[in-house]
Amino acid sequence: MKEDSPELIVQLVVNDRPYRVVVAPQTTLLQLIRDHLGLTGTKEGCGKGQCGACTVLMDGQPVNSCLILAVQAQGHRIVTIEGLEQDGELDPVQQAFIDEGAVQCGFCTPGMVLSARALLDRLPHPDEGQIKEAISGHLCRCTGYSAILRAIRRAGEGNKPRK
Amino acid sequence: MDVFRYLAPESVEETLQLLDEGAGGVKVLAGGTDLLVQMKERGLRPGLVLDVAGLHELRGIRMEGKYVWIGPLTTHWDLAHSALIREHGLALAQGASKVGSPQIRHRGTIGGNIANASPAADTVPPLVVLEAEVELRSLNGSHWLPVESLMEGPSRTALRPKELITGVRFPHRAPGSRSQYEKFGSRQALSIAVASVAVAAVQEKGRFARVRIALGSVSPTVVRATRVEEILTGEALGEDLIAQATASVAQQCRPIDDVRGSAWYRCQLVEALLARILLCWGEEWMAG
Ligand SMILES: Cc1cc2nc3c(=O)[nH]c(=O)nc-3n(C[C@H](O)[C@H](O)[C@H](O)COP(=O)(O)OP(=O)(O)OC[C@H]3O[C@@H](n4cnc5c(N)ncnc54)[C@H](O)[C@@H]3O)c2cc1C
Ligand code: FES
Ligand code: FES
Repeated sequence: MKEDSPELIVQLVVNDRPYRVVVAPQTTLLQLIRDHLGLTGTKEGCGKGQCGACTVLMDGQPVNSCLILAVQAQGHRIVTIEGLEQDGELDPVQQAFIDEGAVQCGFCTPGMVLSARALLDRLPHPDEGQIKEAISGHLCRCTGYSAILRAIRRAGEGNKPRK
Repeated sequence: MDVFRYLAPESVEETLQLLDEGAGGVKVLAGGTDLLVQMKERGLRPGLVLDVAGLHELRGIRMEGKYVWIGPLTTHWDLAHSALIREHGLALAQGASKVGSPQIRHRGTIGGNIANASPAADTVPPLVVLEAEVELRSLNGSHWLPVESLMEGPSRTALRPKELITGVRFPHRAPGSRSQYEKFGSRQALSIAVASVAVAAVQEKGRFARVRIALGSVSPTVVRATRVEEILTGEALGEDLIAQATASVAQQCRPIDDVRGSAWYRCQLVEALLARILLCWGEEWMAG
């Protein structure tokens, strides 16, 4: 059984790097990522699962980090927006967002990009319906979504699944 | 969120022990998509949170004798993508696929959806029409209870604080049987059902048998539409029958007016959703 004390130790892998972090029971995964690890690409919008700004990949699946306790990430593999770039090269999804002008204020972008990345890893050539479904857990207040859809379609066209 | 004690028990036995000792102040944590919202927003303050997510024996989908067995920690995502669930209980796969968003479906579990007992819970009408049961276990033993009898009111169930849901099961599909779930929300993702309908039935020589209909979001709990079940039973599907069935379904609702829709609107919706299912089956029955 885990230590029954107000301070808990979490061991997890974030962006391929192992971490050992001391947290309080009520610390969320979002707080661990932003405040303990200083990875501020992950955003907090609503704090209750509605907006998708806090989305990270947990064992490859998009999840709302605002609704997960940090301790629940024990032993799991997390990818944040900072983890997509490899050897100084942007992920093709990130590049497509730039090329299509799919970023305005940018608040929704990290989550959108991660959900798109997970989709393309699962379905290398998604159709329009599958793309819409994949980003249905994200709100964007700026773009009107069409540029985002175009960007994901474009990334899909040149897609080779990672790893 | 306020401070609480957190424990991650290593077995079901240990969980039951801790539930037994802790009485009312303990909350079981599965995916957390209901519990954490309630703790953040609605002032729920458990003294002890028992994280059961690591109990692998409570996860999975498999055939067990004449049942399809589902571990309570199975996520909506896994339910929606399971070939076994699609084959034996299509309505449940459809319900699970309509929960929240992909992110919520990756975390939210069937056990949490049942225990939370919202009249809008998307897996509950399908479970009710599939004649599903839940296994409730405490230190004193375990028993199976129909999902239908578990629901006592909004957020109120027959689940006792010392009990854990340790299994969900429904009988495998009889020849000629089918099921379907339709939900209406104010938009396609991230919207709680304004009304929903699940139907399961067997087609015997072109006639309805073993009809079960459950309605979501139109009463304090998910309810059966027994009057409509009677109307359909023994009859062949046709336009008149569909008209008769949809005309009487609203009488089986006790809807409320709220921000999502008026009582009148919800009644119109259940009629339309039921008609949609029956029309869709009608076409296929006549074609086949
Ligand atoms: C943004 C958002 C959108 C949503 N949309 C929908 C929707 O469209 N449709 C829908 O139906 N729901 C929706 N939900 C609600 C929620 O996601 C589901 O009810 C989910 O299935 C809950 O499961 P969980 O594992 O996250 O439960 P948790 O939050 O972990 O637990 C919920 C409750 O169940 C109890 N519990 C959990 N597992 C067990 C067990 N094995 N034994 C005994 N008690 C247990 C907990 O103690 C708690 O009281 C939404 C939630 C959010 C935040
Ligand atoms: S901050 Fe997590 S979904 Fe909005
Ligand atoms: S770019 Fe501003 S919210 Fe999407």
